[in-house]
Amino acid sequence: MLRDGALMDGKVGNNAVETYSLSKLYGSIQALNSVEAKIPKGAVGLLGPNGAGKSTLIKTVLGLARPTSGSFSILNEPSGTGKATIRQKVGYVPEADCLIPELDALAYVRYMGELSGLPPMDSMQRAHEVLHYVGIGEERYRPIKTYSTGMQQKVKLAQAIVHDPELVILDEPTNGMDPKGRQEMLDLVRDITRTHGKAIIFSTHLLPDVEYVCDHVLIMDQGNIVLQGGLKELTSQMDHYDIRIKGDGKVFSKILSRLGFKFEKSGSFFKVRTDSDILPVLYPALKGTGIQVRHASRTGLTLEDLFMMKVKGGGTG
Amino acid sequence: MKGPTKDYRPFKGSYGSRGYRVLRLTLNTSVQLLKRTSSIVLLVLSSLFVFINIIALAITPGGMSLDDIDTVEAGAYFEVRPAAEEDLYRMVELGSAIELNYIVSNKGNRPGEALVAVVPPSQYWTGEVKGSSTIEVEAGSHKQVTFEITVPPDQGRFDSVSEELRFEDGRPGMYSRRSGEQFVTAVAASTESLEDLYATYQDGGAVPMGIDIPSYTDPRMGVASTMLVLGTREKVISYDPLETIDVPVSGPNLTFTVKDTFIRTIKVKQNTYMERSVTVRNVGGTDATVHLSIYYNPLQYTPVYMEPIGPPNERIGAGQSREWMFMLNTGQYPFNKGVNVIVLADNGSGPSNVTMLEIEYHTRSKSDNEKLGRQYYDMLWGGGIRFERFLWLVLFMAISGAALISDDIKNNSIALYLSRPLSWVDYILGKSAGLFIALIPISLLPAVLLYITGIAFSNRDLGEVIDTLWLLGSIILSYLITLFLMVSVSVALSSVSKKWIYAGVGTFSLFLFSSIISTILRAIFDQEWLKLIDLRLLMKLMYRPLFAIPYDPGGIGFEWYVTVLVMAGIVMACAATVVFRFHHREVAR
Repeated sequence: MLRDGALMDGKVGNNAVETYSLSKLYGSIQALNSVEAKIPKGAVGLLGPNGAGKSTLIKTVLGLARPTSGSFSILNEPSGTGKATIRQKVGYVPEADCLIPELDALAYVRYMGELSGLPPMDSMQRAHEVLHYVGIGEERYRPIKTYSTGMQQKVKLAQAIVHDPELVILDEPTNGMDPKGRQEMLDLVRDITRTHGKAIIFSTHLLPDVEYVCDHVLIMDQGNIVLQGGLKELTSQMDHYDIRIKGDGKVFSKILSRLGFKFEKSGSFFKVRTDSDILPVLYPALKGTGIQVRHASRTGLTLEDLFMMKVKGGGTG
Repeated sequence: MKGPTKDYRPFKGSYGSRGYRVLRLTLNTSVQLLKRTSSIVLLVLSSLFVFINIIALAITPGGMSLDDIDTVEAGAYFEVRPAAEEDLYRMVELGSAIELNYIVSNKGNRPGEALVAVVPPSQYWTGEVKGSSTIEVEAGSHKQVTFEITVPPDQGRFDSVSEELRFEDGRPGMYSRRSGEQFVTAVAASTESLEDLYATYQDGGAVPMGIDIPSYTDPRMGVASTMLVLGTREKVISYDPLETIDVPVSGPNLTFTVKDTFIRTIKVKQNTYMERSVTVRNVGGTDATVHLSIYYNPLQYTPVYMEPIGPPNERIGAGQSREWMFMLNTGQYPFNKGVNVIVLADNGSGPSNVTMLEIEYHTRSKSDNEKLGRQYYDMLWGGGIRFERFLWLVLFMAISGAALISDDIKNNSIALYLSRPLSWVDYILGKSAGLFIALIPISLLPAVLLYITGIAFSNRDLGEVIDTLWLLGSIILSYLITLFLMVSVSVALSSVSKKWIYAGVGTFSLFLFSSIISTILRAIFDQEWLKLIDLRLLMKLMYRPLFAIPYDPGGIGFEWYVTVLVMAGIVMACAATVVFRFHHREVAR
């Protein structure tokens, strides 16, 4: 069982990103609220509803926004050290459109490689390689403004990895993509981290994407980290019972409440939250009520369950 | 280069330094700016005008070339001297003719053509001169020319006094004066006394006629002139004993023994604008009124614009001096070979209490540097800043430069730049330098081409070309300052909005409309300091010292450092705007 807000495992100094009471104010808006995070090197999903502070956290650790207070380290480099050193090791896929529409993809990715310090020839070669890797073929010679959303997202990924960074930060990389393109993008991201060993921070509000790509998850809400940990660990340690009954649902609800369980009711189906065995206490309580338990199974939590539990309002918005 | 791989491969090379990254940003920015359609159109238009300018430089007769020298020291290239002593000074019977022979020597280092002419001094001369000659003379060689001069029987009615006048080398000189109501031409120097001459005249005998041989000019211009001075007199005017003074001039020093009158011939080439001044100093013990006249030889048919600055008559206290300025503009006429301008000053008619006036003749632009600088200053920055060149530059700034940052803001590209190993300072430096470089083909490059063209058509040898390199430095420096200022403004305005059109209109207005705004505001508020709003005027004034032209505070009413301070203030304001946008406002957030 992992406590809410507890630090993930991982050796100190071996994390991709660590933050120490990191706060960021935009006027009166508290975008980050004393965030203490340890994001390990691996595939980490950064979850949260819109406005949770995900992008602010990313931009702050990238140096695009100055923290109001607190500090951080990224790839073992304290925030006070030269940002260039850090950025050399980081690739960034912004959420917003960031491409130069007039350029073709090859020129654009090559340009970004050069800005990362790659020599011109190496940059050109790397641009060809990464564009090929992300699946941009002969289209690379066309102006980017003629690309579909999916292709543009791939170009954004290509420019983020052209300089071979240790850490790739992806901010909503599957936004606006069709299912096929989205799956291709997810496959690419998973390949980058699992096959090629790159650390990634994958910011999204699409839970299946995180489940598909990531090993770790960090959930934010209203500028705070409300949960962080290994995905398997989180979903295995917290579970619930799925129960289907025959009989009076209202009575069954009263019994569950009297026994102190939290639950969700949907017709004759009940999802009862508990991490212990419910049946030894439930069956005696049902005696004489005429209610029959037709199905009862102990089930682990999904990421969605975790998200819904931890985020106020269930993440709407 | 290896072909693409299907797999992702790690990069094994080494990363470049900060300087390298900024350089790549700079070069890419330049290329992207120059590849814009608007940039290409402006470059083509600008090149067309430069081409026209270069053609004009090449075909202009006599040239708007670098050494379009307006005055040439005597003997600098050509020397004309009498073939024999009797050609220098000849007694002539009225109504008879004489023949004068001259030797024309080319003292230059290349062949040249000299026009040797006898130029009568005034419209009162009605005699005939035959033998005006254009001759080609090899470098280091000489040729003889002959003139036949007819002296009419009724010539010689004028009133004059004259005395010894000679160059330091002993050649006779001349002078003339105004006396009574009659215009006086000049009388050649004579070894005889005036009294003797007068006596000869009264007896109906021959009177002396002398030839003065003034300066000769550049072989390319090919003008040499000889002033024929003829005179008799009707009466003798009493005069005071003479004194000898040294008169500093821009040519060889002349030693004049002068009572009260001075004439100087200035040779001015076509298409030349120049300022000159004459300083008259009263070295006597009492006050004196001085009259100044400036006129040109009417026989040369040269339109000359001359405007004495200040009243022609001035009372000068004892020991005081007064400077008269005047402007000459000879225009550009195909057959205009130059003009003689005569400056005449005297201390009034008749005997005077003034014992002596020392007269200094000097040019406003004494050095070749100043002449050269003036020519290129006028060509590049004159006329309210040469509009056709300035227009392309401002349009380029307004269309392409204005989008420099605003497009990145609009496209959200700034976050991507700044997520690279680039600080916002690096980003601004790279972008600014990129714009700076992109502007060079439309500003500095044409100016340098004009300089090279001017040199090419000036027939200078290597040593003389090297002597003009300071001008190239001045041209480059003036454009670097201009581009620095314009880039600062453009980057600042471009960083304010994501719509480039705002920055474009702002840039255009600032540089092209500031003159109009300044004029309107001055008309309303009647405040001279509002000239400081006029950016083009400030730039123009600021560059004068670079081109060896004295700063003229009369143009704006402030010393030169005020214009520099205003310019520096504009740059600082631009820098503050950028800092506010990028550092304080986190434009990439």
